[in-house]
Amino acid sequence: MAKAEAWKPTLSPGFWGSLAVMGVGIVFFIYSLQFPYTSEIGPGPGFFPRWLSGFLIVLGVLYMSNSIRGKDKSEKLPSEKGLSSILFILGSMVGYVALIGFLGFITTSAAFLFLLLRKAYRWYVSLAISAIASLFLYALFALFLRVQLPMNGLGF
Amino acid sequence: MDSLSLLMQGFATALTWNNLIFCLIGVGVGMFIGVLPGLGPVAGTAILIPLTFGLEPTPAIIMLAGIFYAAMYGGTITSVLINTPGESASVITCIDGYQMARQGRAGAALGVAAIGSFIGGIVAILSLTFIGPTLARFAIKFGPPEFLSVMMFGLLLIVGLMGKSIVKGLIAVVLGLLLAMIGQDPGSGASRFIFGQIMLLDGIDFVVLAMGLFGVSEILLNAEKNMETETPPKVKGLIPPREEWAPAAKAIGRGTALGMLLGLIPGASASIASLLSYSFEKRVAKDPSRFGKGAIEGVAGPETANNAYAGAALIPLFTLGIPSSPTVAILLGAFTMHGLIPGPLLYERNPDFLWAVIASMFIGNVMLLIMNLPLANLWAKVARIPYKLLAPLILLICMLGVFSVNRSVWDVGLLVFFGIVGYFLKKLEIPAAALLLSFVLGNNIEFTMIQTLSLSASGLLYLFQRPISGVLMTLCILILALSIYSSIKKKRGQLADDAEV
Repeated sequence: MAKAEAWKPTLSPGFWGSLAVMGVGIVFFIYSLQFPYTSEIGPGPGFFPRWLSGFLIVLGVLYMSNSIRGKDKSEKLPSEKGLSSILFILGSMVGYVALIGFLGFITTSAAFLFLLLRKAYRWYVSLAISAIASLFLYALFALFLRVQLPMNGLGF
Repeated sequence: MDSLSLLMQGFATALTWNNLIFCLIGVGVGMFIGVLPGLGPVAGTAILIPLTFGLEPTPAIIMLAGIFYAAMYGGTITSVLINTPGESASVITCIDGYQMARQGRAGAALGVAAIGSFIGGIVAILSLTFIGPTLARFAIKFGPPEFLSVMMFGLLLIVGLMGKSIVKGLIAVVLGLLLAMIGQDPGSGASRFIFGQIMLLDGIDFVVLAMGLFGVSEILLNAEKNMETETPPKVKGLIPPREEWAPAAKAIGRGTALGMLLGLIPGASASIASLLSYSFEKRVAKDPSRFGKGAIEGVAGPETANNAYAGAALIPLFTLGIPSSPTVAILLGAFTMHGLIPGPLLYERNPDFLWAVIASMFIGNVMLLIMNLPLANLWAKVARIPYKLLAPLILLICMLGVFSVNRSVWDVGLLVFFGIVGYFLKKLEIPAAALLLSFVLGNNIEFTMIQTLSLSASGLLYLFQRPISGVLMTLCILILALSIYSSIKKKRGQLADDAEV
């Protein structure tokens, strides 16, 4: 039992965070080896990235050692309920990115807002807010600021 | 021509109807963002950048700068009335401000905060008017080693002042620098770290990173919390009682000096200004036990300091081209988008623009004084807009704003990605503000470093051989040593706060 407890801190969020930091450092370091370290004027395009990513790996190791020694206690992962609402928001955003090219700005935006608002208000209130807000933003960006927004096959 | 007559010309430009309207929109939006919890000046300014594309540079920057200093005013209202800071520079105001409101003195608290903010803001802009040009003339003589050392100094100061751990601060800085390397290398033209994506050839757009790290991630974090809004009490009588005038005036004076000083240092932040002012007020008070029970100095000092900071923070931007905080970094991004290069040459090349922006800040502060004194009750109502309605709208506006920068759906995908990254950075207490600042400075740091190295025969030791960069680099080492010492002694954490979220 004592052994299991001793191992517990290594699985803290900080541990995974430090792994991710090291991972990023390693990927960038390997990638930076492709670029020449020197050039005619001195340092080349590989110079700065190589030092930076090397330093990041060292920092990741320090972070991990701090985390294993239990110096970080403030980090928390989201609760189950929090996690599901976060994933729902992220899922809606990914869906938005995937669909906007086909459905056009107005339809996709209204659907996005309706999805996120539907628990907060009655369905017809949510629908009205979503439609009005999407049309308003379309007017502001497309008509007033002349940003070309994605359209669907029907032209809106 | 001297500063005064240039300023007068600036007023002539700033007082045209067009510029006045954009100044009003800027300070109005800034107040709104300041009042709303969960949306700070960084995200607010980033969201509005796309709206400025069709504008001339002068009204565009007038509006964006207005958001920045107005948010400092707005944040106070919710801190005092419902004990919820609208942005992080007003966190400390909750302590005594809310106590004052509970004693029925909400009016006095808001009144003194508005007056203090006004005085702090105006004095800071006066110093921008009169110190700025001198500093710019001095900075024109700076070479690559000097710029490199100023930037390193700023970044290390952020690491030293922010966050609970020096390792995490450094991680944020290095991550930001590496992200800045993505795309075409300005020196050799080689494409770096594009991972096979043509869309990354131009690098990561600054607006995408800022909105992801500060806008989207904030909504994700709040999704875990219960964001119910409280009904604010009615505000009556905005002038504090006579016996509180003298202590409030002294606190305002000290707050002005402190905020301005911090604004000049690249790497400090508005939150740090208000936190330091609060602890300073407590230290000089005859009876420190009053603090936490509704001491007027605890509102007057910090609220003045964060506004003085906001004005003075533009000095390093205008004279050196170096942003001192995330919001100023966004302003820098907006400058470049409009084809302006902040730095010492700005005073020579674009005087019309520059002085109009400075003049507009005087005007904006007067507008804010009016908005805050007679109209405080109106803003209190804004705080009641339910968060469940706001959050989806903010998300949609973020996505739309990012899309309109390059008309690219890929950027919107990248926004979601950085939203997730920002969420985890905040969970792990890695300061996202430091990442954003180093990202903005990244290309410049690399460029000046390569220039320095090609000038020198002794590598980076050259930095110590020139007087200005030598002093700054020595200070850098000192800051680093002090931070490491304090983290070993476990004295860190007093200022542990992410800047201006």
